[in-house]
Amino acid sequence: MKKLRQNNFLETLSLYVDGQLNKADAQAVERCMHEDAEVRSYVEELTRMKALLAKKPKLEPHLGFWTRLSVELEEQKNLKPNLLPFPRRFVPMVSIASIVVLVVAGVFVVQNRNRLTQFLNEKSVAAREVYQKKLLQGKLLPLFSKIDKDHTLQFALFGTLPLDDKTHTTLRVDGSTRNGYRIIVGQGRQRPAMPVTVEKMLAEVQPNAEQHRAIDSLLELAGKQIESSVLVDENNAVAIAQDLPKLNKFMVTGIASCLEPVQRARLEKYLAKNDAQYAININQAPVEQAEKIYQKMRPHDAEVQFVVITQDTVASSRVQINIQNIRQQMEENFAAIESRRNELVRRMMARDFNRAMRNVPTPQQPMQVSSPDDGNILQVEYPAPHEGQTNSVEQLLVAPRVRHSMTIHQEATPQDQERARVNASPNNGGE
Amino acid sequence: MEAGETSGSVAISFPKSKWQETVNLVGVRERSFVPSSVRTKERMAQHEQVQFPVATLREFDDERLIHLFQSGNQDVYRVLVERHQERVRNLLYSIFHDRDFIDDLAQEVFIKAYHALPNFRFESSFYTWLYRIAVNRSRDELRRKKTKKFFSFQTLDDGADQEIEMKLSVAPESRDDHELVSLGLQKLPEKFRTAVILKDIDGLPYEEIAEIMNCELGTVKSRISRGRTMLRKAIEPLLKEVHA
Repeated sequence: MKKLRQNNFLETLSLYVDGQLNKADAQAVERCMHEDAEVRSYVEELTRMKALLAKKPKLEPHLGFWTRLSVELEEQKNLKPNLLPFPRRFVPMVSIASIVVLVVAGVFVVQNRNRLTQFLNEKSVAAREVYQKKLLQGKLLPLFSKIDKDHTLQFALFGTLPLDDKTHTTLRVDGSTRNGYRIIVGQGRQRPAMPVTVEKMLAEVQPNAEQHRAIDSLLELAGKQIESSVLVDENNAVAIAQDLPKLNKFMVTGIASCLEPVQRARLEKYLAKNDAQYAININQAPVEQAEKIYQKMRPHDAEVQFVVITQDTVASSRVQINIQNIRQQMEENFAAIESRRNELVRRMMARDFNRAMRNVPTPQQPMQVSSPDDGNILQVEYPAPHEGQTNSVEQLLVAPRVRHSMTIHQEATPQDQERARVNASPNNGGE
Repeated sequence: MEAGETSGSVAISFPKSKWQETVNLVGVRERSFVPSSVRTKERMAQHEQVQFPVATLREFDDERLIHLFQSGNQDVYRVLVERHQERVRNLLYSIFHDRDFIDDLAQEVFIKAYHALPNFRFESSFYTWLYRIAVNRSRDELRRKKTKKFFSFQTLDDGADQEIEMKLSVAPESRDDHELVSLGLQKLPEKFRTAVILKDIDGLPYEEIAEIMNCELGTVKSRISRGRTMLRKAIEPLLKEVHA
């Protein structure tokens, strides 16, 4: 009896009934049956059960089975293929589930409609702000306010404006490149600071009273244009007028054009001595009246294209300048202007610009932004705008200076080199 | 020239063989593997689209009929169905013991086989393959019934128990012993029931049962043994009476 509770033994007996045991095992089972009546009874019952199952009557044949099956197969052949991502039998279940989900979602929306409306409004406002966000925000203030004539002259000669004298941080413009204009903001390599003053220049050039007045007026007008050309907004974004790089060339031209040839030669001598950015072709152009020169200056209320430098973007933007308004603000917010200039200098010293500018997005205008000189400088280059008729006086009077020591200047064209030869000849240089 | 002859060597064809033996130009025999796709194409080429009369088709064995089916002659399926329908019906009847239900189920089995037959790979006999489909389908059906009963708060074998008791109380001369055994089978869990049916009713060898039920040979032996023990317990009074 104990043996009959063991599954292995029962399995052996089952195999014995099926005749699956080898001779030795079968004999062992038979011995066991002989010794144990219960085992014998169990085997006999299994055998009888097996016989009963084997004799189980079969179903009567289904004569119409194929006919029925063939109809079903034919119907299935004509069925359109199931394009649903689940078997057709799940269609009612999926439909009910979809309805339930829709009802639950509807109830949720109705219950939370206020919060949802608020959320959507916030998102749309945020999106609108991002879309409509202007590069320049708040009040615009001039970075170079109350610029004196000496600084204006320095800009005319070298194209530089000091941001911070202690750290030699400057704003530099260069309209003499072949590819267009260049604006450079930052510390770093610059020409040796030559102390230029209007007084020294006038002493050198020796203009008459009328010429003196014209030069004074020109410097004053240029100073005002510089004021309205470099602006800073409330987020410390710097906007630099894209025509600023040609202002210094225009100034040199303006000063030279109101002088006699002899005085022009003296001016060129002065410029050469100070290693100025532009040289003067002494004998080429007639004397211009001061009024004509003033007329060529940019109007005060013109809409100007600016290069806007923010913490993380350099882009081009058109801004309408109201110089009177700016002056008024400047008077009221002089401390703020100083503070912003300091902030700009601080950022440049901390190289904030350089880190940020690694992620400059594509500007609206083809501009090249780079950080040469180990990251101490932010350099923006852009093509010169198409100006229609060229200024003949500018063309004739002024040309980029080619320095004698720099025989192969990287930006010197063959024409520049030709001009340099003309400038360097004894007939042109002396009085 | 043999069908498998290629330039520079003579192919010795071995039907259905995965390996093809060739003799190259210097007389050395080489064996190369023939992919199943090539073999299938060869087989299909051998069976041309000849329309045989049904009487002739009935003389063909399953394998030949399947080749014909796979080469596009789908009419041969009728012969396959007629040959195996009763076995499948009886298997399903043994499992479910429900005459009204088994014809629908058998039809589903043959429809499934019809759609799967183009991919039949001759790795087992047709009826083993067909039985496997039938067993799987009945397993699904039992599972479905079990779920249905669970949700209707019934126990699965309540009905069988009562029916067995009722039939045992009837006088032996008017009692249907086979009906009793069938009811006893209904008390067994599906895997034991199927194993016992395949062994004791269909008389299949253990190896084929293992193939049909997709399990190990030892598992089949164990299931049959345990199934028989359970069935013996269910119909013990009947077995004792027969003995007496």
